[in-house]
Parts: sequence; C-alpha cells; structure tokens
Amino acid sequence: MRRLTSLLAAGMLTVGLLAGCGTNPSATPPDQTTSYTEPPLPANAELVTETPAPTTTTNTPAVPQPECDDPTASLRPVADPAQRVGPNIDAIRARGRLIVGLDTGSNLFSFRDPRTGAVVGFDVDIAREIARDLLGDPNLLEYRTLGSAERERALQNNTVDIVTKTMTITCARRQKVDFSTVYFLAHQRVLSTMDSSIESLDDLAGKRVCVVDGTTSKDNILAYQPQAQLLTVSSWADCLVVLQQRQVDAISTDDSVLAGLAVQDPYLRVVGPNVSDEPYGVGIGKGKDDLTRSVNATLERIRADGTWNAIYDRWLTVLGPSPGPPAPRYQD
Amino acid sequence: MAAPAEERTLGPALENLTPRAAAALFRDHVHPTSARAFARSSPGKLLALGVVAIVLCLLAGTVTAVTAGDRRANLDVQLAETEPFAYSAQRLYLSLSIADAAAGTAFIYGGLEPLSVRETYLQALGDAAAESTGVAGDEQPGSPARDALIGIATQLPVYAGTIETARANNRLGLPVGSAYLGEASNLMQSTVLPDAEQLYEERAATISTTLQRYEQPPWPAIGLLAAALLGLVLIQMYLLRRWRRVFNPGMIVASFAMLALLAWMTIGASVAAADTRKALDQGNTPLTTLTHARILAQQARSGETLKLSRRDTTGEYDQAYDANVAELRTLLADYPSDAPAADLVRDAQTPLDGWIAAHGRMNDAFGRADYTGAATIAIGSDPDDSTAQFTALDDDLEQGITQTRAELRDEVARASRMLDGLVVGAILLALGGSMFVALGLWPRLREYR
Repeated sequence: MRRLTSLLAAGMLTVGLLAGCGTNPSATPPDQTTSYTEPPLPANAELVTETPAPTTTTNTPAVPQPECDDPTASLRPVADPAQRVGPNIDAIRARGRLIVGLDTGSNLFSFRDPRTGAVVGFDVDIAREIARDLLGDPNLLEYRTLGSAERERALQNNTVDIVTKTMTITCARRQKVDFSTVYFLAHQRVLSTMDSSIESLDDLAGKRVCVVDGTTSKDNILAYQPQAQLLTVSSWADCLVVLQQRQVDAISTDDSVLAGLAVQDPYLRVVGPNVSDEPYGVGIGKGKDDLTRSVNATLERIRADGTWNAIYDRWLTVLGPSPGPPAPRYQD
Repeated sequence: MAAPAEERTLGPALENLTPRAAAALFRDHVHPTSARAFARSSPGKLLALGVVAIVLCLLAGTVTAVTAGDRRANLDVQLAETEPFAYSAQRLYLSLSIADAAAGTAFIYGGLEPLSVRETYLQALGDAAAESTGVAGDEQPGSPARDALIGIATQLPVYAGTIETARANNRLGLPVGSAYLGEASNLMQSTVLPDAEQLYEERAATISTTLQRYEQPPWPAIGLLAAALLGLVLIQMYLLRRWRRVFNPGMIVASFAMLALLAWMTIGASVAAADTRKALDQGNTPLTTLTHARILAQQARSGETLKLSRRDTTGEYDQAYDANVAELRTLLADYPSDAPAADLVRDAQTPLDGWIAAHGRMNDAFGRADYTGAATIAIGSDPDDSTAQFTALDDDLEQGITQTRAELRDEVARASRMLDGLVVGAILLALGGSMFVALGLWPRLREYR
C-alpha cells in the first residue's frame, strides 16, 4: 500500500514537474503587495457616490418641506402658575411623575454620566425645570429611551408626556405633534481638526465630510456645497471615529451635536458661520393645550430668571459664551 | 547445447550468455512445436490452471488490501489532520466570538471593568491568535481557506487596537469609546468572523464529503473477490471432471482462504462503512449543528451587550439578537433525539428560555432609561439574569460539542482499526492461498515427470 502511494506520488510529481517546466523553481516569489493601511469603518458606513443635480445658486438651501406659516409659533403660557390646570396636567400630577422621552447617547444634551450612571445634559435640565413647575420636584422624572424615528410615534401613542431630544420644529412634525416655544436654536456648522485649512462649509469642496444618513444635515451639505464627498454613518459618534481615524476631513451638522463631539477631543474645533436655523422645541402630544401652555410658562420663567443661561453655561460653553435664550413666538 | 563456436571462446557461464546464444539455447530446449505440445498436454494445462489460480488469489488479495488500505489511510487523515483542523477552525471562531462578547461586556461596566471580564477577553484574543497559526494546515496560496486565514491574521491586530482605543476613551468617560467599540465589533462581525466561518465550514464539509465516500462498503472490490473465488471453484470443478481425481486439498484450502477473505472483506468493510456512517450521522452532523448553535449564542450575546454599551435605539442590535436566538431555538428543537448529547440539548432549552426572558426584562429597563437596571440584568450575577442563563446555555452546548466530537473520532478510529486488520489479513490470506495452490498442484505435476 505504502509503495503504491509513493509510486502514485512519484507519478503525480512527474506530471507536476512536466506541467511546471519552463518556470524556474529557484526564482524569488513576488512580495506580498496587499495594503493594510486603511483603518476599519463603523457599521453601515457608506461613501455617497451619487452627485446631486447642481443647484443654480449654491447658497440657497433646497430642502423640500411641507409649507406652513410659522412652525415655531406656540401657545401663549398661562400667566399665573396657579392656573396650571387641565386634564393632561391632572393626569401627570395623579401619576406623580413626568414621563420624558429622550435618548441616552446625545453627548451634552441627554447622555449617561459614566461615573454616576445618571442621565444628564441640556435637554435633561430643561425637562427637570418642567417637572419642578408641574410637580414641585425636578427629580420626579421617568425616562423613556426613544430612537429619532420613534419620537413622534411615542407622543401620538401617549407613551410619553413630553419629548426633549434635540427635536427640530418643522412643519411636517407640526402636523403630527405640538411643540413648545423654541428652547434652543441650533445652527449647522463644521467640525474639523486644528491643523485643517477648513474654515466653513464653502471650504468643503472636494473634501470628505461625515454625516449621519437620513438627517437634514446631509441635505444641507448637498445644497450648500455639492462638491463635498459625503461619508454617511449611522450615529454622530461614528463620525467622530472616522474623523479621528483621518478617513474624513470634517463633520457638519447642528452645532449642538458638534459641541458634544468637540468636548471629547482637544484637537478639534467648531468653525464656520451659521448656515441654517434648527429650532429645538419640547414635543407634546397633539391637542394637549394645557400641557403646552404650562411648558411654555416654564420656558418663560427660565428665560427670565437666568436659569436658561446657567444651563447653557453648564453644558455648552464649548460653543462660545451664551447667546441668550431664543425669543418665544406665539400664535395666539 | 550452446553453439560450439561460442562455447570455445566464451564458455557456458550464464553471465557471458549473449541474447543470440540464449535464444538458440531456448530453441534447442523448448522447440516451438514441442512447447505448443506441452501447453496442450496434461501437465501443461495443469500448470496453466495453477498459474491462473495463483494470479486470482494474489489479485484478490491485492485489490482487497489496496481498497481497505486506501480507506483506512483516508480515515486516518481525517483523524490526524482534517478533523483537528476543523476543530481548530471552530475554536478560532469561538475564541473570536468570545473576545467580542467579552469586550462588549467589559464596556457596560464603564471605565472600571472587572478583572475577570478583562481576562476573559485577553484569553480569548490569545486563543484566537494561537489558533489562527495552528489551523494553517497545508492550504495552497490563493485557496479560499488560505485567504480566510490571512484575513483573520491581518485583521485581528487591527481589531485589538481598536478595542484598546475604545477602552482608553471609555476610561476617560468619553462616549466616543462606545463608537470605537461598535467599529471594532463591526470589523469582527462583518469581516473576521465570516472568514473564520468560511474556514470552519470548508473543513467540516471536507470531513462530510470524505466520510460520505466511505459510507458504503467497497462493492466493486467485493465483487472482484467473489469472482476470484468463483474462478477457483471452477478450476477445481474442471480438474475434478478432467482427471476424475478426488478434491485437491491444497486447492480446497486456497478456496477456503479466499472465502474467508471474502467474508472478512464483506463483513469488515460493511462494519467499517457502518461506523463511518455513524461517525457522519451521530458525530459530524450533530457536531456541526451544535457548533453552529454555540456560535449563534455567542453572536446573540454580542448583540445584547453592544446594544447596552452603545445605548442603541435604532433596533439594529435587537434585530440581530432576535434573529440569532430564533435560529438557535429552531436548531435545538430540530436536534434529533437519538443523537449523542440529545439530553444536553434538551437541558439547554431551559437556560435559553431563561436568557430570552432576562433579555426581555433588560429591554424593559433600557426602555425606561434605567440603564443601571438594564446593565444589572445583562451582566449581573443573579442566577435568573442574562449572564448566568447564557453561561449555562453555553456550557451545555460546549459539552455537547465535546461529546459529539468524541463520537465522531471514536467511530472513525473504529472504522480505521477494522480496515487495518483487513489489510494485513488480505495479504496473508492471498499469499497463503497462492502457496496452497502451488502445494496442492505440485505433487500432481510431479506425477508427469
């Protein structure tokens, strides 16, 4: 058997040698030429290859939106705190807790303090002030974790009382939910490294820019600077990863989000003029007018008594000194 | 006699015989007409039949020995190389999965990860690196298995580096740490693990195809053996009729030797084939199922821990968990009740249900933004919670893998041993048979002198 195998092997070797004749067995094999320099990418990262049709004037945003008069105009607050009454307020008071929808991954706005485990941030402080006025104690909060797409549904289904989650007031959303007055006015800007020559959105031509897919920020970049190459990922923290790995030159979105990224890396800076207004409002279930007026009264109070500025200074100084609270607009 | 001219000069010594002289010598001794006459004569026929009988014996013995030896050699390769390589690939896959799940678990604790979890990660990473060299085998450059190995070996340090970046950020309390963790896990789940899976599946498939080839006894060889035996019988019947002699004892012993070889080959090879089939059905198939089940459990655990450490609200990790657990449930439910480790698989249902229940409680807590509560369920030590249930499930599956692997190796070794004896037996019986043919016919031939 062994002889047979060795015979067979000898035969195969001969065939192999005959087939291989012409190649020099002592020739040096070629070096490995694979490149290993490219860092990994976050999940669902994608280079945007389709180039949008060039707009005639590059400086006009071409974001399609349902039209309405003024989405940021809300209901006038109750004049006297004693007048905070109504079926929805009563229900919250009977429960003894205010149920707030937010997420715990938006750095500086609502995030979990890794040391204490508590959910903190600008949005959380706004919610605490609302609870203070409604229930007499800012700690009487209960949180519900919501994805961006779930915010409106949670309000419609009544699973939360209010949503404080960097929610931009738009005409489209106004058709499904109500909003308080504007409590924060964000602007789209650019985050880049200190050694970069990028100073504004205009400088992004030919540069790689990271943006979260499906956001208005992506539409804005395409409208302002169609020559930017976009890399889309699924969260803003992923954008910081690809910026630190030098796979993109910049990130562009609301300055509120950029601030949350900038505080994590001393070599980054927020640059450029404000290119869009993103008014954030407290989301409230449609038709809960008593609650809307009460929330607006709270916002009115913190604008007036300096609480708003104190909250700003606690979280957002990375964006510069407080610009002061945005002025409220009322529809009635 | 030799030609006189040549005899004078060269002498009759055999080494000096020219071809021409030899031919003349042959002509003188065996004249063509007399040779033809010899063949037609009784001793000539007897001699021819004896040669045919001996050739039949030797042929039958050789075919049996080669067939059985070939099977045995291939089964031994399974034991010595293919199966250990497949197992090594399986260990590589699991080590990678365990490392990824441990990295995610460590993250949920925050900056101060428990030493035990860190050690689990480091151990699994080291195991994976070691296995990625141990499974190298002799794959040809450019083969898919070789490419998969290169992929794993080159991506593993990148993965480990990204995990350490994640840890450093996490220690500083920076949320970007969890994004690095997500990126590392994505590298693992979308690039490294598929490579390892391909490697494992390729090797498991090699075992399957080899064993499937030997699931049936070697019918052609057995047929040839039967034909040889029939030839011997016919020769004896011819001798009986032609010479009206009593049975030739040598031929009878030779026939019985061939009959014994036929019986041995038929029974032995059938038993070996049955062992091989059992190795496949009771060993390799359930082993592949359980390995797949364990991988699914590890992936589900990765999804569970990643959801928490990334505070994911997109549902991405929930979908991964649900899909993995659903497939795992189906695998365990469809596991044949007569296969080895069936009792372990039955036992594994309880921790699986417990884990799914704990996962539901974790999601409820997470939905309430009660992160600490969710983390306690995911990584705490309560016996009803995820860690304990997952560990119990994983232990059951690991034991099942050990049992089915032992079954596979035992059955293949048994088949190999069965064939091993057959090789030696076939050679001895064939030689013995030939010898008895010669011994039996020799006295008859001598009678014609």
